[in-house]
Amino acid sequence: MRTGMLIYVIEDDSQQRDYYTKVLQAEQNDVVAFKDTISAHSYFMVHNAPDAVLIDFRFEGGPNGLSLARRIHAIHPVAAVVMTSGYAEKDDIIDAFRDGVDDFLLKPVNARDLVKRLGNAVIERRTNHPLDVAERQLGALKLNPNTRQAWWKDQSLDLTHTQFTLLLQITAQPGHMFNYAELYAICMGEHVDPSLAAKKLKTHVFNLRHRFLKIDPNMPCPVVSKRGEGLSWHVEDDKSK
Amino acid sequence: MSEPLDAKQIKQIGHEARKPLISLINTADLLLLGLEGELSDQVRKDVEAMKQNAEQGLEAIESMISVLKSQLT
Repeated sequence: MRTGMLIYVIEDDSQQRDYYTKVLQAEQNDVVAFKDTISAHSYFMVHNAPDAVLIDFRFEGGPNGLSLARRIHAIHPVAAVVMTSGYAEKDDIIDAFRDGVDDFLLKPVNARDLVKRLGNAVIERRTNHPLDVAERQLGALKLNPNTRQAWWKDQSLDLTHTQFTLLLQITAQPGHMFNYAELYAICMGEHVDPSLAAKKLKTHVFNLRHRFLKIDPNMPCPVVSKRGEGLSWHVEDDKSK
Repeated sequence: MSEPLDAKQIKQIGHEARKPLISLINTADLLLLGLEGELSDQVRKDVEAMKQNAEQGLEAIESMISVLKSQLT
């Protein structure tokens, strides 16, 4: 496998966490380890994309591994996510793959398998998501998921982390209405009911839309918010430049 | 007489029983890979035996869990 990767390990069992860390560091990888999904999520929001994330399926308290995996891909679409579990049911594994997890390893994970399958997941992720490695472009919008920068009509939008995460998420599926509860979970790392999510995201959405209008007040804002429902990226406006 | 186990309890028992054995296998792997320092031939043999026994224990637990699960239906 390619060595020298940046790998995040999220595992609540300290012995297991140390094992992964030592095996991966022995292959010249940089490893950042977390004991829970909440601290990992906070870290992801403000740091550059890792090459791969190794994450346990279940956690005592806090969001589970699958929920965090979805958020990781929303923030860092190019990061390969490999899930581990000591007692996953068949349905859990199917759900994980459906949600975009790149591989699923059952414990005990043999050191050689760990290194090989993480490496393969990184290669596969990069092959299947070539656009995310560089910039994502939708008409007059350019997004760089790695540097977390966005431009509208060649001018920097200068977004906060939450604004960028919202934009990255809605532009992944133009035209699709993402509900506020889902978006809030992706941005903030916790589940709240839809009305509270809408309330808490209100200022972020207002400011995000304002950034677009500030650059071109005459052009309709492509970030469409629908009261009580959610947020979407308007498809037709993609062609304007 | 005690109540029969439900699916959730079986899952929990399986998890708790597997955990120390998985930990033992991981530690043995670290030792065998030389990540905790050099091993003498004798210690290497002992660690290999320890790992093999832990793997057998894990298989036995998997079998028991399967039997318990099959009794649920």
